[in-house]
Amino acid sequence: MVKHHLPDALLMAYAAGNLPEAFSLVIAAQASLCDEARVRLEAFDTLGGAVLDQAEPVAMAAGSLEATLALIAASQAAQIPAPVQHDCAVLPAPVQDYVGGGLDKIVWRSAGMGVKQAILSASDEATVRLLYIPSGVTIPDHTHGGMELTLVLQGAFEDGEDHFARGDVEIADESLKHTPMAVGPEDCICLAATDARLKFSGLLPRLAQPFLQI
Amino acid sequence: MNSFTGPRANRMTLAQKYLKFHVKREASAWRGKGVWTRNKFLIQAARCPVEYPSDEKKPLYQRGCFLMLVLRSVGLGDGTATVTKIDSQEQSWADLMERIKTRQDQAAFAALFAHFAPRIKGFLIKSGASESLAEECTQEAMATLWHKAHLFDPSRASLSTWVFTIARNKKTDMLRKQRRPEPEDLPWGQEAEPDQADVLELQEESDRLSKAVANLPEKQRHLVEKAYFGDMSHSEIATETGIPLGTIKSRIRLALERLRHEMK
Repeated sequence: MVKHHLPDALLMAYAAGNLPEAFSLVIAAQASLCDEARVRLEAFDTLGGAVLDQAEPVAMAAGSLEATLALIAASQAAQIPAPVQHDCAVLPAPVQDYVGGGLDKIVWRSAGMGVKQAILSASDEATVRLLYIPSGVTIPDHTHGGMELTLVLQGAFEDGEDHFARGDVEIADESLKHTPMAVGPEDCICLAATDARLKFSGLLPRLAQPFLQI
Repeated sequence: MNSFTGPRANRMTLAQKYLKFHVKREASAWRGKGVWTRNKFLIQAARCPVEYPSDEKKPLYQRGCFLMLVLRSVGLGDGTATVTKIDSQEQSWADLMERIKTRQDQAAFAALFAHFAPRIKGFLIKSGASESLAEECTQEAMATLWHKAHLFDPSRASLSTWVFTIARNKKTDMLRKQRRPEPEDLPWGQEAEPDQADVLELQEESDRLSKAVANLPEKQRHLVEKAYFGDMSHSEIATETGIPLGTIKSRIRLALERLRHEMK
């Protein structure tokens, strides 16, 4: 059972198509694991449809319908690619699409202390990565210039008094200093999106930051 | 063709005044039934309804014919051969989609185009697209609607919802130039025929939502529009939209639970 859900504002921004790709991936992955999120997303899609229904129309150019029919005729032959087989029990389908397969296809880079990461997508706006944290390891204390979304895919982590398991998502921002620690029998795999570089509080992690690229 | 504004409005003939009165009355009568708004009605009325499927639709057909004649006589109807098979007003969007799907029906597509294309274009312009990019994007979105017609399931989403998601994805693709990851697809395709009761209820819920949006106080409506159409970031979005989403959520939840149950 998912206990830590995504807030409405993020779901609505995703439904509206206004989130950076990195965050969209976390939302899509979480909704793949959580029916509650799926329901709320579809409700926001419906609201989008209602807004579109009530929107002020802007006249199409002359001959637009004919041009569209020509476009359809021209692309008639275009095939919709066959859906990719998703058969990894840990990675949700949208994440598998970025990795190019299951867990065995992830190209991990070591980040020290047994922690590994794999960047899936990075832009000026935001970055999304997979994190591998061995059980018992704590990610150094850091605060955020912007927002960080962390979704648990395997194992669990604890941050202060909160426990996050598969499907749970933690939202951290400037105000939150957090030290997530992987707990439980399994090593923890997370999908994390950040919209600004993290600021580590200690000196050594700060030196490590360029290597971590986070 | 189907506009009462612009230069034409200044030279309104008696016939047009009469027509306008009728159109208004008809449109408001149909609005109560759900999907039909004034614009949709006008498009339909201006085009020739050549057949009616049942006796109960006969009066509608007759009124449609009469209006069509009036429209033609004042030069508003195009009466062209491309669009001849739009029958009764109660034809729902879902039926038009079905005709595109099964018969590659261009007339059905034209009716959907007339309604949705200008709205998609407006949406894209408000999202920051130039006039020409919005036009191009809209044409592509409408072409996608044609190509993906077989994926549209009216028991899962209303057509407005579905068209919105297509337009939004085009926006992500062409304006933001990004990929859009989607949640894992659920195997909805197992049910051969969508349940008509589900289709109807979902349509009603969606219509109710549209009305709720239309009836919002100006300022609030603007905020909701901006959240969807503008480039509002998540931190700027007011969580409280003032629109009751509870009912639509319960409907979607119910459909999802049924599906999960079937998958077991």
